[in-house]
Amino acid sequence: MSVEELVSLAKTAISARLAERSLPVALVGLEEQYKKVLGLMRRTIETGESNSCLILGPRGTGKTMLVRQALKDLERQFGTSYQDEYGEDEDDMDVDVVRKDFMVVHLNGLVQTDDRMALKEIMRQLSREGESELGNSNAQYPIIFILDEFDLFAQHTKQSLLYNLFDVAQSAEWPIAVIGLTCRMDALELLEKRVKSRFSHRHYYTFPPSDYHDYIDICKNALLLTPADLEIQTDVMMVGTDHRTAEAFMKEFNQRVKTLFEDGGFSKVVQRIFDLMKDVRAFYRLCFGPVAELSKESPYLRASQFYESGLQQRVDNKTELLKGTSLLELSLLIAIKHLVEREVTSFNFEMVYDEYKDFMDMAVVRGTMASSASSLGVGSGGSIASSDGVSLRLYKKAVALKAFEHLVEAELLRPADSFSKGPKEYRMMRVMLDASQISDVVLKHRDCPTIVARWAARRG
Amino acid sequence: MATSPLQLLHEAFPGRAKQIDQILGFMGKPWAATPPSLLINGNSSLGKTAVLKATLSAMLGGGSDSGSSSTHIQSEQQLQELRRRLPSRYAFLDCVECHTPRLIFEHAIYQLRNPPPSQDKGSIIFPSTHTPTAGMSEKKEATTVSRKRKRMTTSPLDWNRCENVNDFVEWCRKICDTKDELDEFHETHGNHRVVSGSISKHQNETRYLVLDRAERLRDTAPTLISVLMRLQELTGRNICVVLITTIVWEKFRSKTGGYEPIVLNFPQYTKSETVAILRKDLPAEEEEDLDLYMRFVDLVYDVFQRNCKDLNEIRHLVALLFPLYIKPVKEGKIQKHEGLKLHRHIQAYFVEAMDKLYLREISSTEWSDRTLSTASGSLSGGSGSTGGGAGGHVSAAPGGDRALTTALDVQNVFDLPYYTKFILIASFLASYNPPRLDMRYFAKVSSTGSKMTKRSKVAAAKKHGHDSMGSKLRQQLLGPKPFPIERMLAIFYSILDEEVEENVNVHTQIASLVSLRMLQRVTPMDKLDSIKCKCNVSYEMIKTLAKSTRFEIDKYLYDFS
Repeated sequence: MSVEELVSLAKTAISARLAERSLPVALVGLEEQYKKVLGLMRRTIETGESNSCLILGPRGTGKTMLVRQALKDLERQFGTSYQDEYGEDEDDMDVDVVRKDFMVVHLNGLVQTDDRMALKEIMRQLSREGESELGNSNAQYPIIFILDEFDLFAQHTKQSLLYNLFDVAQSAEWPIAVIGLTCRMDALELLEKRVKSRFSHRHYYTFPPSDYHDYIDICKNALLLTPADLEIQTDVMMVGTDHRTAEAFMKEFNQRVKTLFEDGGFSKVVQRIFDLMKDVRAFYRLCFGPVAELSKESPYLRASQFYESGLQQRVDNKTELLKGTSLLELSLLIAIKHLVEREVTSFNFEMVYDEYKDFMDMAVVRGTMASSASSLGVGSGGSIASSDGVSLRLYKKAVALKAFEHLVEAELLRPADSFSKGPKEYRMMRVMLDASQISDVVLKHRDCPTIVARWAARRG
Repeated sequence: MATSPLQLLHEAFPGRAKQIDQILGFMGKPWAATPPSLLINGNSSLGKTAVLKATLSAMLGGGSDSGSSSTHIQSEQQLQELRRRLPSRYAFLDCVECHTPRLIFEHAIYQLRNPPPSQDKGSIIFPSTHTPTAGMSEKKEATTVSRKRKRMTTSPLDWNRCENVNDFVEWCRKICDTKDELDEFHETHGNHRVVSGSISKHQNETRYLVLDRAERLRDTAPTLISVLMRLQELTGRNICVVLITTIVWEKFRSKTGGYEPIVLNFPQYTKSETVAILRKDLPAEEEEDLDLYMRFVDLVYDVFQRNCKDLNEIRHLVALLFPLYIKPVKEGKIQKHEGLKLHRHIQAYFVEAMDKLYLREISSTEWSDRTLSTASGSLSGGSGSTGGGAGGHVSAAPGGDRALTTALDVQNVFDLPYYTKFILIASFLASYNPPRLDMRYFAKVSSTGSKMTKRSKVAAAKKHGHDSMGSKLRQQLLGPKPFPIERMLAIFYSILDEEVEENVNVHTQIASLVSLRMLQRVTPMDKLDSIKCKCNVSYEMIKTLAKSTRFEIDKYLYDFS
């Protein structure tokens, strides 16, 4: 196997983990919850005991992953027609087992937006699963219902789907397990009384990694290669040169990843993410770029790549967008800043233009008096405006209005009240930026004349 | 190889090499796992749509028929051929066009089930793809639509109904699961050895769903965004959603949160990049003027770049002004190398264009027609005195001015009956003056002495208004206030010197002003008593009206500047 192939294998495997298409190698910090959820499902399958539970936790803490992992393990144990909706790899497992002891129905509150749709989807998934066996139709197959975004199901009219599911689970007519996943901590309160009373009130919580080391472990796991990723057969029979190069590559790659985590700058980037949000996905997002850059020429992850992509994901995109504003738009923003500083929080175009005009009048007067045109950096081509004294010029209202509208379009300004009729010059607006952000833009702006910068810095 | 698709792309988009590489990096091999979602943001006219479209079509749409096909290895050629024939790997939707979820779903399904839009050879070249979003692209869209229609009737795959997210997710799975010759091709050929292993049994090629102007999605269906962000997870297939937008991601976040996309920012073009793009705009037949053109582009950039960041606007300006710039050269009046003279000649037009920046009051063809015709007249007079420098400058300007202002004059020419003008003036006064001052302004006092005091009072009020912090809250800036019609009539009778007897006619005039939208009725139509109106007319227009009736409006306005 050439290095190129190995790199492309590694890339595929890692990006699949980053995109959460394949499951992580190990569960970190969720062992307890995992055991409980797995036990619950197993009891349903083995002993036909109906059950219901909720898994609550903030986004990105591994609720869905937990359930997927549990299902995968059950599937390995019992065999199922559970055609993985996730298209993940069924590594060395032989899935052609005829025996299957349970069925799984996946629902997501975002997709099945009402009960009718949900029922249809249940039918579809059950009939598809039913088709593939066809054998003894009398047997009672346990069904596991996974309700992702559980809180959205609670918003369906009358909550009849939930009512019926919980009712079946409670009345022990048919062995089912209902597992709800939600990021709303108050999801239980959303249930109607009759629904709530049928729920088992079992809930498990997932939390973001509390400890920096756990966080690092999760991150590291995503980047480390495993033998399966590189298709290294564990059979002793298959040992060949291919095998050896692959193994060497894996060792080297993993070594590099480990040194990466010891790198000072890199840890700073990770620490920052951890301190800000403890979200594993934020780290994953950071990794996509560097992983995508892996190639034959640079087959290993380098810390410098992460600095760059860390910076890229961190920049305040608003300031970035503002860098592209024209001088006129910038002037209008500064005028707005001055208005806001005078506690005129909602304003219309006329007011802004008036403020802008005041400044320009002043600037032109001062410009002609001190003849400081040189400080305004009139380029060789810019001399056309020399009739005005400076390359700054007072724009006509129509042009300024266009610029103002551009700011509205970029949603830096928002209408203060809901749609109001009347000429658009007079519609009241609010600004969606801080005064500090505006000053920041002025500082970073590529070619902002000193007069304008001074105007921006002035208070009141 | 001199003409690999990648190099072609880099050449077609100056200054976007890094972004193209990034996008390609995220795409990876056709079957590789991609990030679930990407968000491309940047100001308008930075080539977001064009770059993505060209990249996708070059990589997944069978590319362009580059002349280099002979240098391609045979399997490569075969691949291209397949790509052109088989269902497209990407769907490119504009959220303005697809303004309901259903339209998005159905268009996406349709595009993903049919071959990619055929690419003619020229399409990869910059000017045709990098169209201004408003103007030319519409025409192009129209043609694609008609092409779509045609295909719809001929192709066996017809339009599929898809009304909700549930169906859409199901469709996505179905589409991604259909294995076609392309996927088999990968498997049979060496380059896909990897996937034919055990990694995944039905890992077909990645599908891309691109949504242009995605900011519209928020109005379309708020929950749709979070669905799209995790479409990969929901379908469990290789599908990547790309949003293109001019606003920042923060504005998309929903209350409950959700999966966050990877943000890719398109930065502003630098000067050299802008010039390189403009270089491509020079029509082929004027290739011999390249030197002159580049000098001109440089000039335009230096003059306009501070105030005009929009690349399309600069291109528009260049296209408009270049003919004017080289006209004297073509006529033999100025030699090519006389840069200073040429510069002076074009200056007047620059000043004018600066005033009209972004406005596009008249279409560009109209503009060039008019300016060329008028300029030839005025220039012949002006060029004689170019030696005098300033003289040439001044005389050239009015010619152009005339051409441009004609469009504006429509507003001023607009004529109304005599009394109606006064009604409009009266309502303007009623809208902008505080009622408490009506007594002072409009009470019939004849003595000149009192007039003096009135004036001084107004001046004092003005001064006061400017000193206070709240000078920004004066009525002129706040806009028109509603007024009862009776008050306006009182003002009307007061400012009109003669007697008007027919009250009925006045009311018809008011009604016609309302229907002209110069007055705006704020009370509901079914309420006949105590009607209130607002004056919708600008100060400039009222001033011209007042001038035409010889009415000194400034004397009667409170706190205006």
